[in-house]
Amino acid sequence: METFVTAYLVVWFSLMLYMLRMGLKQRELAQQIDELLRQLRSDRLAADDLAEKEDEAHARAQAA
Amino acid sequence: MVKKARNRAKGEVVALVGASLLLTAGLVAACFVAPTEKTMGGVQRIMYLHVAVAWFALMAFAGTAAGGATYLVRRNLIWDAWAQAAAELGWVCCSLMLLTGSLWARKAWGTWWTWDPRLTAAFVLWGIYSGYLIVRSSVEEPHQRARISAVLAIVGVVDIPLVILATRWFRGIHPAAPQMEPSMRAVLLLCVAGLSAFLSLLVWQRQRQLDHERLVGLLRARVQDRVF
Repeated sequence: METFVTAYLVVWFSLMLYMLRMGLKQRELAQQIDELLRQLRSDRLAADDLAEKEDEAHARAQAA
Repeated sequence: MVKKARNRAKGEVVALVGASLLLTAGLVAACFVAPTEKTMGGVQRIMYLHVAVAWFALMAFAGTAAGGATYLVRRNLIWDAWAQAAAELGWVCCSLMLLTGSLWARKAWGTWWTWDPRLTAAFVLWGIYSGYLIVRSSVEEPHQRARISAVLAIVGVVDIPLVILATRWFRGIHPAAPQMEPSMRAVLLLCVAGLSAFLSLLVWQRQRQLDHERLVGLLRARVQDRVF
């Protein structure tokens, strides 16, 4: 019976380790996705800001 | 959209709980319900684990080859993600099959390992898919990686019939589908169904995770190229 229990524990621990690895990877991926989306959003805002300033400068130049 | 996502998450939890219950029922039945075999005694209960992981390993490797072949036809990386997810779980189960088999062999045959035809074919299968995973981790370009690994998976799947039929084609000490009591057969079927359901869900989750990894790669490329 102890051989069966050993086999059972080997299978159980292996699957638990695989699921733990998957869970850690999932957390890392979620963090990366959040960070990249935040970066994309802030880059887009900065680009919009720049475009607005350029438009204003262009309008001022035309008025002058 | 939110409702759909919530329903899907609910469905996933229900499926996971169902599969876990089925697996637990199978393992409890293997410990306490299945009758003790007369000649080998308690150690024979390893069969319920050994056959279940072996069955899933073979199915997963067949799935890997099917995913690879579909990628080669459609050139869509989602099929490569399915193939990788199935190969990873298949490799884990194949390793467990060799380990549990070795534990059983020590008690039943008095040796940890022997070059029996079926054992050898199973070891070759493990070697092929170990190589498959090593090759995958060493190629960077996604389509090149998918192409090479699809060919490897299709070549490797040829070994599956050999593993199944080795006990019929060649003489060895590994038993070929022995006769068993109906209650033993029922417990074995429960274990195979429970483990297969649980691991299939893991394959599905892993495939989705690999898809998320691809999404991260795409997002990173957009950030680097400053494409908003």
